[in-house]
Amino acid sequence: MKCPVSDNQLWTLVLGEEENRQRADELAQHVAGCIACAQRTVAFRSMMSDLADMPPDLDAATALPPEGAIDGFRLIRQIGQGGMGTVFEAEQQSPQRRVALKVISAGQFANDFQIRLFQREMQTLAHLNHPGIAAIYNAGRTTDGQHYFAMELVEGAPLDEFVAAADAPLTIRQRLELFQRICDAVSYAHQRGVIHRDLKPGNILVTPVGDPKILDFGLARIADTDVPGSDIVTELGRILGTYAYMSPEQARGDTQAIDVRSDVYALGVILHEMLTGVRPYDVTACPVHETVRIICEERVHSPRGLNPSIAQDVGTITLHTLEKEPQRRYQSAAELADDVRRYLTSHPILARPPSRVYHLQKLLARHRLAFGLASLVFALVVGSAITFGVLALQIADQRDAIANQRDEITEQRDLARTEASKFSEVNAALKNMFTASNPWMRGDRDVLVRDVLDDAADRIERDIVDNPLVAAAARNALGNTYRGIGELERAEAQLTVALATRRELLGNEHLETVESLNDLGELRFEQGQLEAAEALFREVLDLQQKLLPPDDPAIANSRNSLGLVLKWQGDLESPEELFRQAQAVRESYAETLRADANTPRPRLVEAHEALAQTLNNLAALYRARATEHGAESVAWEYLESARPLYERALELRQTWQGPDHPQTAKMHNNIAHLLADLGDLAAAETHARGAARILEAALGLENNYTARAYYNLASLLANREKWEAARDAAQTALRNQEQLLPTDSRHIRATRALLDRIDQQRKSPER
Amino acid sequence: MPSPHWRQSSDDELTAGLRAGDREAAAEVSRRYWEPINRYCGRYLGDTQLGEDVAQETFAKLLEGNALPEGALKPWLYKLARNRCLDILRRHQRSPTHHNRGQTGFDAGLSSAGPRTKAHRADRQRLLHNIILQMPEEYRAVLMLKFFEGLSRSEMAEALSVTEIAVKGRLVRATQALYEEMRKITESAQ
Repeated sequence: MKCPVSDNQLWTLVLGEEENRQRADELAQHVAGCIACAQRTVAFRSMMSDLADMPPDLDAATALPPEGAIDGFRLIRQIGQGGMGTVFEAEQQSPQRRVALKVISAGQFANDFQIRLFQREMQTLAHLNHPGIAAIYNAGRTTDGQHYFAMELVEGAPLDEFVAAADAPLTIRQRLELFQRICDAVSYAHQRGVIHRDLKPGNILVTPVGDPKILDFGLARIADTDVPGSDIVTELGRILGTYAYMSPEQARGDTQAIDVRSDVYALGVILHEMLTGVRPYDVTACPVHETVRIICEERVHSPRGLNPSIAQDVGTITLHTLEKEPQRRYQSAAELADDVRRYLTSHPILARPPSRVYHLQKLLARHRLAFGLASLVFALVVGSAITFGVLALQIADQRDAIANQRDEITEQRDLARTEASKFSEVNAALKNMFTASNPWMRGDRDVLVRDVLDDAADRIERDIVDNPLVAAAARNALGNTYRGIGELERAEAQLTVALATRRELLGNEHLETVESLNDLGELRFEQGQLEAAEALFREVLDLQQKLLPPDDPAIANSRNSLGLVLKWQGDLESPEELFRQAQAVRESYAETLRADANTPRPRLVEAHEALAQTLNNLAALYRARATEHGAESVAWEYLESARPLYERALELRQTWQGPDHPQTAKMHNNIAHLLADLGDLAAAETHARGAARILEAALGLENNYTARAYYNLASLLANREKWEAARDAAQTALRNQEQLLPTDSRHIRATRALLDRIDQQRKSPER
Repeated sequence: MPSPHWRQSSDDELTAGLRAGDREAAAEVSRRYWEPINRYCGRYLGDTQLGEDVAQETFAKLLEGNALPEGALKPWLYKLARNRCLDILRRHQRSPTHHNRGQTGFDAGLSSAGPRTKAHRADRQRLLHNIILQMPEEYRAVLMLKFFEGLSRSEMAEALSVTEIAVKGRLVRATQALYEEMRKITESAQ
């Protein structure tokens, strides 16, 4: 009697899909007692076991040579294995010759899809008849149904081996000649609508007599339907090639963007490798996403860096071929071959090195995720420096060539002046933004900024070195930016060179030299080299008074700086006059700007900030004098003189920087100290609280400025004998300082000492 | 490289990261799932290089933020990859489930004499694979996801956008059909 249990039921059981517990148990019991079902179950499980252990790469299993005879061919040996096809060396009977026989891997089980791809390759090759491309002879099907085609058997070495042959490596010229022939073959294919998409040295064999042959059009894409009667769809989205030779658009999987220029890119990688022995970047051990990132973003360096015997033009050609964006490359293999030919025949090539602006844009694009401000501003400054430099050169050229076109020259000169003033304004804005005391700069962000700046330093070294004044301008800007993030040594390196260049080429009495002198002075100040800073600022002031009108804001800046340096050296007298003069000029300048409705806000902010600074400096000078005079009545007068200055500076900052800006907090802090000195502790406390609140909101608790503000508040509160509140504030300060500073820092010691004092007082308050 | 903390994250946490546009999360997803998805696509299409193409496209979409997960991460990745595989197949066949086959079902492509291969395991596996490639898409999908990728029933349901009951039904019918076809071929070879 036939067993009533169906295959369907058994499968449900074997697959574990029988959810009804009772039914499952019943079935299992039945199987145990029914031979037919037991046998079926064993067979089912065996198949499931085969499925479960399926190797990941079926193609890795040895290909079976075609069992059936292939009419007219005798198989000799297997010589290769590709994605879908296996290649054998075979002997053709008529005409008698050795051939390469490519057979579809899946044998007779190939599905429609695989067959179509295979046929496509065959048809692609059949259409191409060029000495540089392996020819196809014929195609067919074996008696047991396997598809194959026979093609030219190329005896030769892969390109990389041929080029680097130990006994007689090719000269650069010979390599270029070989490369040109490869480009010609690729160009031929392109003209027939075929994009290879997997060009690499392994796919290019070179015969012993030096003839290159391109193989393996298995990935080729037919760009148009010129293959008659074909139903091949032209949009097969094959993006693969060997990663190392893959263009950015291929790596990104942007299948629609793949065209002949993707092959051009691969040729660029091949050229780089032929010239230097290595590829432009190494992605061999990288995970996929990292590979994609490297290919799409990492800058390619000229092969000349690896092989200095390579001519500039050859380096340029290579880089032009390896541009990330297709529209920036040679637009075809033919263009590339032509430029190589031009070089080889000593003609000027058409490719140009990428422009500086383009480099800057790339720099910005690469680091856009890290930060925007520094690079943007730096790019502006360096960009304008370069523009200015370029214009200056253009003017010189024009003067030589077109001596009688005065109008044009005048116009250019005016334009250059405008550029120069724009340049110095941007530079000033940069300085303002990147002052060392700027609390907006945080630790981790500085590291990223520095990387960009180091990169920029390299570029100046490389790209602008033959325009020394432009390079000096760029170095100056870079030096200031380094200073802004506290990299003083690097800043010094840039600024000293900039100054030396400008002195040499422009002399002392030139505004650009003065600018470098000034910036170096600021640096020396920051480095604590006060005497050197003083000397520089005095020189700057002297020169500015010769070159500029007396009410020029630049002179006010120098007076301000000199005043500060002197004060820091303990001179509490001479700075007063300097600060007052600076104040007068800055007041007038700010007023002029305010009166002009077209003044952009950033300029207004900058001008009023400069004024606030001078007021602050003057006030601080008075406070310092007050401290000097201790308990004398004149001390009181100094303090009273300082008060309106601080209050005005606070008002300016609140208006122009905003009430919650850290600079405003700084003013609150200064006023708090002053008011404490004056004995108005209640008002002092209000300001101290304000400072702490602003800084906490703006910078967070884990920040030295905030910690300091809490310390100041704690100190004040202690003076007011508000012990609990003082303790809280001091502990807030200490907690954060311990996160940020070394344990033996004097700030931590001071805070601990304050806490001890507070605790003692709390225990035994003095009355 | 994805930062260490993403490596310890669960799939759900990674999904949240992807939705928030975190590139490091995307990178970790790609690191974690590249192998299985690549393998799956290669098998699905019967071509390892083409499969790698599709896997690359799938992860590229992820890294560029052009695809955001719906539901659990793993089944969604399979769904994404499979849809792309289907696109490619559709361009080369009239429909994914249609083959120019006889009425009785499907046909493993034998046009004439069967293989002379012995019943070695590797050969059996190759045969099974090729049969699966010939099967109607709804069968092929469940077989691959279950046996090659180890997805659970609920994961398969999500990946295929069907109910779990549908998955169960398809799986039973598909395995049965596969077995029958295998049996026919091996018996005719003897």
